[in-house]
Amino acid sequence: MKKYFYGYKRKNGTIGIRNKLLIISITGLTGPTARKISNLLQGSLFVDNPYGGGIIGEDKIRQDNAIIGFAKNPNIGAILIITADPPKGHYIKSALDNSKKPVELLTLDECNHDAIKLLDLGLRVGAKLTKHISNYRREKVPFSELTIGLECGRSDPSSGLVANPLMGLIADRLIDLGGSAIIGETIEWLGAEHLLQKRAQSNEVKTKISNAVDFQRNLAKSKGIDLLGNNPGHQNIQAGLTTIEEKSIGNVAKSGSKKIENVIDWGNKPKKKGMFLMHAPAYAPESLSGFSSASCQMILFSTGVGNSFNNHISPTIKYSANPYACSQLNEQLDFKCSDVFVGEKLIEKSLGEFWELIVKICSGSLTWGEILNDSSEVFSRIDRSL
Amino acid sequence: MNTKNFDAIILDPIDNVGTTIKLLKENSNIILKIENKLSQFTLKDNINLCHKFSLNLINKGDKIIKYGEVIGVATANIKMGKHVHIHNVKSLRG
Repeated sequence: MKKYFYGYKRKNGTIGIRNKLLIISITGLTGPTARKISNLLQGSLFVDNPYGGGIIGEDKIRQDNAIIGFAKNPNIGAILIITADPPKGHYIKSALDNSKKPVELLTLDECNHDAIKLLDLGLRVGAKLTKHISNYRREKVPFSELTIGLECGRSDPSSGLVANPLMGLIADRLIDLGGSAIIGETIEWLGAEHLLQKRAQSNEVKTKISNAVDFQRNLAKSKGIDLLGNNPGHQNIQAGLTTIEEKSIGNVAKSGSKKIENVIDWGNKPKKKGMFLMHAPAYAPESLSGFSSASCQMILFSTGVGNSFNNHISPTIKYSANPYACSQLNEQLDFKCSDVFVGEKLIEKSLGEFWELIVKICSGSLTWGEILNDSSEVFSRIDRSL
Repeated sequence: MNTKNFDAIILDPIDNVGTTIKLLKENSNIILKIENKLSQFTLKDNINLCHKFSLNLINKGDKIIKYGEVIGVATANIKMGKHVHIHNVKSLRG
């Protein structure tokens, strides 16, 4: 079993599995221009915050944290911030000082509110940053600096039977090597809280788990929503999942068997190593962005019938144990374990093969999601705008 | 261990439902796998891939057990070998 991979050592001690220029528009007005700049620069990643001045209170804190979190993700080598709000731009830029990464800030104001000038300037500045980070090289690094996000989507019972337990074995192995993992999707702990609470490292964490689940459940109740049809969703039901409890018990298998260190909020980076729960929405785009903002360098994503969505900053390994999905989704699934589901292979053998794939992806091999660019980042909203 | 020749799986000895690993037909005799042991069973419904069926008579109000855990409650009497899904089970938590 390989205990090392080849990654990018950042000046602040973190390790990236990719080395990307992040072009991040932090105000809605600059999004279209920033997207053009990114389209013209090879290998850059574009993140668009479509909101602006009307974001207030907790919502504002959440969004600023996410902007900073995406930029601090170790997969990002340099950052170009583009904004129509200079004070906000300066605030974000100074918050990135301790990442020790090259950061440039461009404002629409300094271009006299001329988007074409901004395009010209952004392209030149972005090109220089791209040139600069192309000098970085991969080095042999331990898994202890890796944090992975653990996700499932369009699940069916094969997820709970094989794919998610396999993910749990990977999470256990990573934590044994000193690394970290995060599982989100709070509503999918409902009915399986007792399994998570048994592993909580303190009574305080136990309480946080039940509080988080109660919060999501009450949210549904307060809006008069019946979870059936919402979660499990229609695709889950068609695929054989009957209740939220059934889905949840399969879901939490992703988290393996290690002690649960704490419950963190959407997008927040764990303060130590080990296994964490993220109190967060379940739908994949928002859930995955919670992980990339929390500095996860990679995401494991199990699916039953198939799910083509990937995170933008953190390469997302898609895999399934559903025999039909495995026979059809050749340019979506990075790994197939239907042979375990139908009893042709032992899960331990699949674990070894999956780990080999993880080593390769961490060292630079591309996922289907990266090749096809089926990826995005989204900002989580919790309040109204002014 | 050759476990290839089975059609459905029971995850825990206390479960009252099994899960199919392939599309199975009504009245077919199938092989169930539980903890590496195989046994015979007769289905009383067509059961899709990954769907559940009852291993014994489940009465209305009985808990549905999978993974050795409660996943819901029966809303109707379910005869042995019948499809177990949202038409005869509801969540206790949702």
